[in-house]
Amino acid sequence: MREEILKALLERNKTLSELSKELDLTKPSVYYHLKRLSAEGLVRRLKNGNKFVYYALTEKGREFAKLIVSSLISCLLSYAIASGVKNETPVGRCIGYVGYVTSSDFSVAYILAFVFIFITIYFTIKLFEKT
Amino acid sequence: MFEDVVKKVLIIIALVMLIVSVTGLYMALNAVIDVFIGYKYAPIYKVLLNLAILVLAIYVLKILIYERRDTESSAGKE
Repeated sequence: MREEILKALLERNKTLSELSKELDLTKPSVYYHLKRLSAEGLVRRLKNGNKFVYYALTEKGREFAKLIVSSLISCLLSYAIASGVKNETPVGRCIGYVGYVTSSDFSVAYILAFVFIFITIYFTIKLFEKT
Repeated sequence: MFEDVVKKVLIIIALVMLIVSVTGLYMALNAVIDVFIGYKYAPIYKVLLNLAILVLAIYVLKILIYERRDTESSAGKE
């Protein structure tokens, strides 16, 4: 759940109400997770004069959120690619021809795809972030 | 004087070693792709590999250019 909060805050600073509505969680639950994230130094509270309190990612939190987003996308994409290439899974069998493959073949295909996709996504996010 | 020359030679040797190892790594990765992925799907992986290298290179260039601009602007202020 904390990963979801970090992902939501990566877009922009948000209030407790916005987060609870977006993540479909109760306010106390979101507040609890925000407190834990704040204790880890990943999130900070922002008071800008009016009555609303916004939550924002710290520099450490922003870096962590980028890593999480890149890892999640890479996991899914590399799984799809590796299973398509090696027909190891039901997804792969739907995409390609059925043939005999060892699990080590699948692992290598998965790891290679993961590394390449992760580097691409992570550094693309870093390239397009505001400096 | 002699120390400077030795330093420069060492830097050149290190750069040559870096180029050799990066080239070797690139070729080895291509070989791994050919062996483990197979003829039919190897181009997909090669596209991903080259894309990753391209993005990484652009990122490094961006950092270097920004660093240079920052040092130039701070020198201009002085």
